[in-house]
Amino acid sequence: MLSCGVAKNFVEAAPDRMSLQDVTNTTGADAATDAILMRRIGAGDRPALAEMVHRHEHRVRGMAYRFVGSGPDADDIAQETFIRLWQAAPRYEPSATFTTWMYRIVVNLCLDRKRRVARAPQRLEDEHDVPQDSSAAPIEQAETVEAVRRAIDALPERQRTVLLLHRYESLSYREIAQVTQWSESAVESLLVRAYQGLRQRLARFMEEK
Amino acid sequence: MEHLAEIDLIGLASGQLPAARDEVCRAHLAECGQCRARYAVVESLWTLTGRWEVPAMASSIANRVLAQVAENSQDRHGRRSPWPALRVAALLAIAIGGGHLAGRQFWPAPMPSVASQVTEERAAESLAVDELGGSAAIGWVEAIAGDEDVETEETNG
Repeated sequence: MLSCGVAKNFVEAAPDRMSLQDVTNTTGADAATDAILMRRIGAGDRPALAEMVHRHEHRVRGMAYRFVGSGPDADDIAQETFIRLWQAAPRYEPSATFTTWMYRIVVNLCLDRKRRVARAPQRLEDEHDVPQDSSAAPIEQAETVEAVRRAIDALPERQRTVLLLHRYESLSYREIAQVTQWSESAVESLLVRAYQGLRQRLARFMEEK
Repeated sequence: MEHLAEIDLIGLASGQLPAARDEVCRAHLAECGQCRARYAVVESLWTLTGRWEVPAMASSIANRVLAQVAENSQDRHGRRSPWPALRVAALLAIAIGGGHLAGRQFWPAPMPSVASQVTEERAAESLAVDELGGSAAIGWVEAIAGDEDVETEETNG
């Protein structure tokens, strides 16, 4: 990916009629494409917004799903993320990589949702969606996955946040620090504790493996 | 020999260590059985957590997003927001209130009418009753009698 400054310069130097295909042929194409799309979105270009949704909805929804544990809630959060993105686009400055900026929106929305759910009266049933195609997988596999989900969900909020960004979104410590606005050393410390916590909770499944 | 830090083991498992650091850590693992055992646990956890996959999306949310954007846009341009009307009402209220206060500064207050004088007398009597307290029966009687007098005066006046 391009560094932020390079991406900015690239966008400013890019001719207005530069096609996305031209851009994707260049080094660091992803960041530059996002920056160009954001500029178009900022100018009110709805097809550009649709393009942005198609590019990132999978990861936004994936992060939200793992965070809040429900498909419909994850869809709502993903939708809200892109609405916020649309609203913020006119003021957007590519001072951080686009994905980092986007993840910050997702994480904030997820944390809001989680806190609201925590304050709301408890339901009798667990809200988590069990994937519909679970019958295709062996029961043991489904149990293992459920144990992993529960173990991650039981982590303290900050540990869960950094773990999800690291394990499933493949963000580096520095990128996680940018998303969460916590220091890099704090992120590393949280990650170590998160993995240690998981190891304790999932010891039985690790022995079976 | 210094053992590998936990964060290095996590970095190794995730493949996120810088190349130089990765090389150093792997060289250490080759020599250190204790760190190899620790790394095996971290790697096992990495594999285990990797089994949690997100169910595939039924459809793209692009249409939902665009519909919401269109609706928000209608809200901004199509429907009349109540805020401008409220703002005008607030400004009018301030202007009228301010005008009233300014008028009181510049024009002398009108001479008190007979009725208002009577009301002032009633207020003075009321204070007298308060001073006597609720248990002072004589005070209450006098106050009530005074009230009747005032009513008579007002009716006659």
